Amino acid sequence: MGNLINGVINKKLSRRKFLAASAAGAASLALTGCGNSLSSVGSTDVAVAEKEGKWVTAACWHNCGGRCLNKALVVDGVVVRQKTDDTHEDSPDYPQQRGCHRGRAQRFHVFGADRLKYPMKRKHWEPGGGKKELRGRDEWVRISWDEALDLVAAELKRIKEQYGNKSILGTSRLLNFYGGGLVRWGSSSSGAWGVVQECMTGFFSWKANDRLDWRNAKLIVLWGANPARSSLGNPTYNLLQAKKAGAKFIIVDPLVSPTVRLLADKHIPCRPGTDTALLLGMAYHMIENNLHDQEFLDRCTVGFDADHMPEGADPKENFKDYVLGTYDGVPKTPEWASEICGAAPQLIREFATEIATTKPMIFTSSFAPARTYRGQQFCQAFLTVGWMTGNVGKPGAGVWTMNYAPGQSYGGKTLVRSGSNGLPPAVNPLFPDATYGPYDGYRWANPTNPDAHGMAYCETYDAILKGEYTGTNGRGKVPCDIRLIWLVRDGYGYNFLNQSSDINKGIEAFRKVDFVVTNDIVLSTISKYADIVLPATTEWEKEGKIYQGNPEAIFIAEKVVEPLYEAKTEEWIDRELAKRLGLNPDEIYPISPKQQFFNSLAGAQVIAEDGENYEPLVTITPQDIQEWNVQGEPQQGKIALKDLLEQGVYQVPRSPKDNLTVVQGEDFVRDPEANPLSTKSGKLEIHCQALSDKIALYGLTTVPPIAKYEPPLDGYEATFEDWESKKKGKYPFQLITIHYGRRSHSTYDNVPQLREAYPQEFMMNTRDAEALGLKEGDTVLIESAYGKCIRLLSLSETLMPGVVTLGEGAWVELDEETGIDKAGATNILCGARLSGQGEEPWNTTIVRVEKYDGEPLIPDAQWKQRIIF
Amino acid sequence: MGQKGFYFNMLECKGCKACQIACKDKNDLKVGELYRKVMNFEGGIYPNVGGFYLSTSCNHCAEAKCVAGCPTGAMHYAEDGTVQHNKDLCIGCKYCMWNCPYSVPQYLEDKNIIGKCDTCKDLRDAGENPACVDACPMRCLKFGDIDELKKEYGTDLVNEISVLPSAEATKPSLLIKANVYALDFNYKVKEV
Amino acid sequence: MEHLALTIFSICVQAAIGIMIFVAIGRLLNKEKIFKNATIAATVLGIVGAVASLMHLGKPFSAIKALYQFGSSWLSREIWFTAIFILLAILMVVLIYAKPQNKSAISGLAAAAAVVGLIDVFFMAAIYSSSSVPFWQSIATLVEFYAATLSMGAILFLLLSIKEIAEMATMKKIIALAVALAVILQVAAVVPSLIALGASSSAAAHSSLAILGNMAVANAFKWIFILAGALLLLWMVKDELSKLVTNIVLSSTILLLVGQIVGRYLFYAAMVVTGVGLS
Ligand SMILES: Nc1nc2c(c(=O)[nH]1)N[C@H]1C(S)=C(S)[C@@H](COP(=O)(O)OP(=O)(O)OC[C@H]3O[C@@H](n4cnc5c(=O)[nH]c(N)nc54)[C@H](O)[C@@H]3O)O[C@H]1N2
Ligand SMILES: Nc1nc2c(c(=O)[nH]1)N[C@H]1C(S)=C(S)[C@@H](COP(=O)(O)OP(=O)(O)OC[C@H]3O[C@@H](n4cnc5c(=O)[nH]c(N)nc54)[C@H](O)[C@@H]3O)O[C@H]1N2
Ligand code: SF4
Ligand code: SF4
Ligand code: SF4
Ligand code: SF4
Ligand code: SF4
Ligand SMILES: [Mo]
Repeated sequence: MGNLINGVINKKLSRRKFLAASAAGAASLALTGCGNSLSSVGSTDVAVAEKEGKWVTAACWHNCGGRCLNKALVVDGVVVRQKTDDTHEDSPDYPQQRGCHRGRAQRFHVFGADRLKYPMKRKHWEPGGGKKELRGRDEWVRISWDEALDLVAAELKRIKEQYGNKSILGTSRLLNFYGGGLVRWGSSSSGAWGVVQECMTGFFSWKANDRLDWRNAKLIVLWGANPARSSLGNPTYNLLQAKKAGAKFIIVDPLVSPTVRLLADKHIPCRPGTDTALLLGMAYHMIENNLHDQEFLDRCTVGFDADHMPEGADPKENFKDYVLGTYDGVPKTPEWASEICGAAPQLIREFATEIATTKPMIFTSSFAPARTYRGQQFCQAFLTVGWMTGNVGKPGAGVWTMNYAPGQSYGGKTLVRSGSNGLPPAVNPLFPDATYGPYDGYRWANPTNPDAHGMAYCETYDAILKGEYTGTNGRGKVPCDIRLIWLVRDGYGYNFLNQSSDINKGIEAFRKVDFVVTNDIVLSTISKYADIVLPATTEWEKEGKIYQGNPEAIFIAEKVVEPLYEAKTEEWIDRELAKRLGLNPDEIYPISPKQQFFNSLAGAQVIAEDGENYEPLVTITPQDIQEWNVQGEPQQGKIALKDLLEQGVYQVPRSPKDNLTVVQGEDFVRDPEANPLSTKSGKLEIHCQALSDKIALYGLTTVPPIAKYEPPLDGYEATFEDWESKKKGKYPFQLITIHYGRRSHSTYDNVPQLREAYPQEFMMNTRDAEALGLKEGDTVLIESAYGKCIRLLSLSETLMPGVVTLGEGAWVELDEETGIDKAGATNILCGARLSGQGEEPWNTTIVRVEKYDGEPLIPDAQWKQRIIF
Repeated sequence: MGQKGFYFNMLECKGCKACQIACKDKNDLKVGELYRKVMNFEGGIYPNVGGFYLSTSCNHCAEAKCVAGCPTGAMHYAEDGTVQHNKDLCIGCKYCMWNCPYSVPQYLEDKNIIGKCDTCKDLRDAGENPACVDACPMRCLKFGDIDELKKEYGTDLVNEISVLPSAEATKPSLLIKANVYALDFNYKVKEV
Repeated sequence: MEHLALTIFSICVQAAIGIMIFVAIGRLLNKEKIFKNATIAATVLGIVGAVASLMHLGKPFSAIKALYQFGSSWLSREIWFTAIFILLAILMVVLIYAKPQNKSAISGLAAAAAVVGLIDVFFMAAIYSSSSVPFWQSIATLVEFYAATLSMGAILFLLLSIKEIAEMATMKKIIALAVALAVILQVAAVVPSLIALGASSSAAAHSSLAILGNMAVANAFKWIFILAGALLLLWMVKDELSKLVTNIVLSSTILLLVGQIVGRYLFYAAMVVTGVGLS
């Protein structure tokens, strides 16, 4: 760090002064006085910075769709500036792990004037609930940590003893040691993909080819993916390298998205939730013209035609005959598809020809089209059509669906990986295979286990309000009496009141229970509607941790600053509560945070020279162990501990000729009999009874074993009062709730600088707006059957007529008088509908739009922050 | 030493605003204060939509009107040809805001003076790149000697596009690799 | 607020300069007349204008630094000349009280102040016409500024010195002519410039027009007031001094002043810098 940088710090900044100023709720960012000296340009202050400032690798810990290197310049206990990867020369083969705009605004987030500072209690809460209807609008009262912990422990104990653990909704390390709680299960991120992948492919096409192999593709199809906004960090840059290497890009999306603008050679417009129809139309064209790879289908798949059905299946239930309409009398022609999906028949034909005849081709989908009602059908159709082209298990080719964040442009082997932190798992007795971990329902656990107690995400509020939920495995309606909502978590999210469907119903449910407790760093929605909120440390204020991103790099974040105000870690809170509950804290956390950090470093592994085996990453000396004051053995690795921490990242250098490139599924395709998949038939299952059966076990909706199109609930068809005459109905627009630049879901939504950059505009096609007499900048009212919100209107021809968008994740700001949300929180509009494996069908939502006659909105960036104390 | 300035590769920009936020971080800027800004322009009718992103900051013009007009000399040329602003001399008269055709100078309400991009001169003096340049995940911003940038990134670079004012007024030290829409002065775009 | 400060500044200073021009002419025509009221008014207006201009600055107490760049900056030049003008005016007032008998010195000062003022108006206009605001860039700015200076100066001078010039027929003719000429020129310059603005391809020009369009009522007031004020004045100058005439002078002064002030406010409010930008 010799070349310290900055003439930036021209004033010494006292951390105490900062905290005081910020506590007084002063400026939006109380960091006045630090930051930049734009003064006459000399670097007179480099010396000061050098002496006082220290660059520390800082966590970027959100569920943001990336992992990048983020460094913070700490002066006197406050971060005055950030930077990203400059640890090595940048090149397309071996790119720096550059972060995004949100990561860059992290210090505005951590040091925001709206950080929660002290434990606080809702004024009218008392054990048992107090005035429950005041949740979300009551006054906050500052309380001491002792009081807070006593109240929380007593109420938890009372509810457990009086009503049992099944009256608790939530799971956490402490809770799992205390008998557990009901779990919300389902699938958020990956929509309907999880079970489909499991059953049809044995997770075979979950993972992509290695990044450098993408450059071998002649054609890359991105289906419902917008990496330019939702895979931040390097993925879009990597895709650009594939384009420069000669790949043509076709992107299927209702929007002419930023990614379409940047990469697409061809854009295929498709209405939300109608992708299945489009895919079936393509399949028809391929079959009609014999463009499909029959040899591959025969060898590696089952269920395509009557001659290749899995054992026990009805031969009439084959995909080909469904497409041709042999038995149902409806040929799924491009014309048939076009009426539904909106792409012109000729375009569908060209597209089908192109994917069938261009080799090698990458056919990859993101999650958005699977976040629809009965999204399994899209997933089935996507895989089937992809496989029909035979682009599997070959260089520059693949049919993949983990087109999410690091999965976008990355794949292959994990070349460097963190060790385990050594903390034993804490199993929830009420949900045996749900360990406490990151939020994505599908990977959490298997709710079809008959000992699993809990309900689908979308059924949570009904469970609270009506006292019963749908049990999986044919258990029918299971009664419940939920009294407590528990959300004391580490920095990994779960703001479900805001992020799950139907916030209005959610608020009603929250206002029914006895007690809601959260820990949080800001007053996010779920904390706003809580009774007691405990101030949490951010990851910047905790002992270090290794973050795993793409397969080529790990990030080693250290503690950046001491906890701000009275913030405490989850571990500290759990330990304090454990004492009050009569549990042994050392049993819950048998090893210290420092030891956990050390363990994950000591256990970190990196690919060896041979490209096959792994070896220890870090060299650890007896002196290191002594300095760290931890238990461990010295070891020899590739990099000294101190150097690794100094660098903050370990990235495996790459070049196109190295021995690390992986082509997914090569062995299987060469010899499927010798290398069977973990599916029932050992092959890729176009006809998949297991899928149909498993979905049925969830007890929500059913799907046939092959890809069929059935109009989804709240889909395109539902925007019409009369389909034949195409007369529009009450909710004529389809809403998609895209992942939005301002935030990682709801996180960062409060940062003013990001609000300014991304205004949370409601977007609509210019001609649609004209027809309604709406103008750019109007405040419009958007209404669905479930709720309404207002937003400033932005007009654009990048939207398909009939389709409107709003970014998901805005902090709901409900006017209780009118029932109108001012923030444009999408889950006000998206109803809680039960589908398939508990996926939330966000992208099949229909709405109406009109001019709002109340007071016009001011831009979010000018809103008052939620500063309590 | 030749004129210094920014190179912006419009063809590879994804409009993410990392550069804008990195600049805000570097300069500790609040809402309403932008030393670098990313804009989005669109034209056409769905699905035939054209458009481009534009990431701009001060162009460190060869004939800077902000410098010519400044009554105090706060706005001045540094030895390396970049246009710098001396906050000790500035009286906040805002004349530079009227003079700069690119609306670059920003009035800083809490400091009562104006501010603008200084090319991160402190970083450059320490041998680094400007914060915005090193932040760009698409690597489509560069800073350097204009002639050398031209040599490296091609001869088809322009310092004027349809949405920018004529380069005649101030001779901006700006190199844009522009797309067809930005180069077509008859293609109608609007800022979105 | 900002527009207000600049409006007060430029209107006051231009009115002061205008008055001083007629004081100088008046003294040239008749050495015996002192025009004390007018001179004091010009001085006070100059000072008020200067104070208002400070309000526009982020750092009013550092205003002195604005004098540093006379060589390159129109703004710096304007500040120099405004300052000199005010100094000359103050000096005049001091002399009028301390050494009223030194008539040629006072006349000399008046002439000097008038000349400095006339140049100052040019600098003022140059600030705007050389900026990057299309709406300001035309010759109309220069014409408007001189027209405002002359018309306001003439009419205020008349009002403040109505007794002294009662029997100065030439003076009255000059005043009437000055107002008429100024207003005609103002109209003649502004109309084509607005048409040019409309024909321009610059988005900023159109935004300026749109702003003006939104303030069409104010704009109409500006012209009605200015024209009505001028007409009234022309109509009255031929008459002998009477109570009625005095009232008419007063009304026309008010009309014309209000017209110019509204016009000036619009001038600032419709400021939109060329092309796209950071703010
Ligand atoms: N900026 C930002 N990035 C993020 C996140 C974030 O919150 N903010 N979250 C991260 C997480 S956890 C996830 S799961 C991923 C999600 O990432 P994705 O699943 O890719 O989700 P989106 O970005 O919502 O949508 C991607 C594209 O799909 C299109 N689309 C929407 N509905 C349909 C449809 O029915 N059919 C078709 N063909 N296209 C459709 C949208 O227009 C959009 O252009 O993003 C990650 N990245
Ligand atoms: N309508 C609609 N809704 C959606 C989606 C959609 O496409 N459309 N996408 C869905 C998807 S893919 C996902 S993954 C989910 C994500 O949904 P969530 O995981 O619920 O969302 P986050 O915003 O990541 O939640 C983060 C929470 O953690 C808190 N937090 C942040 N940092 C810390 C910390 O250091 N310590 C503690 N204790 N708390 C912290 C934040 O304040 C916030 O409350 O959203 C889903 N919601
Ligand atoms: S993509 Fe995620 S990890 Fe990377 S900088 Fe952005 S917020 Fe941080
Ligand atoms: S950071 Fe780079 S890609 Fe992003 S908007 Fe700025 S210039 Fe464009
Ligand atoms: S862009 Fe504007 S502020 Fe920058 S040098 Fe040119 S005229 Fe001056
Ligand atoms: S605001 Fe400052 S930099 Fe701009 S012209 Fe006035 S004195 Fe010069
Ligand atoms: S060079 Fe520095 S000050 Fe200028 S735009 Fe880039 S980050 Fe901002
Ligand atoms: Mo997600």
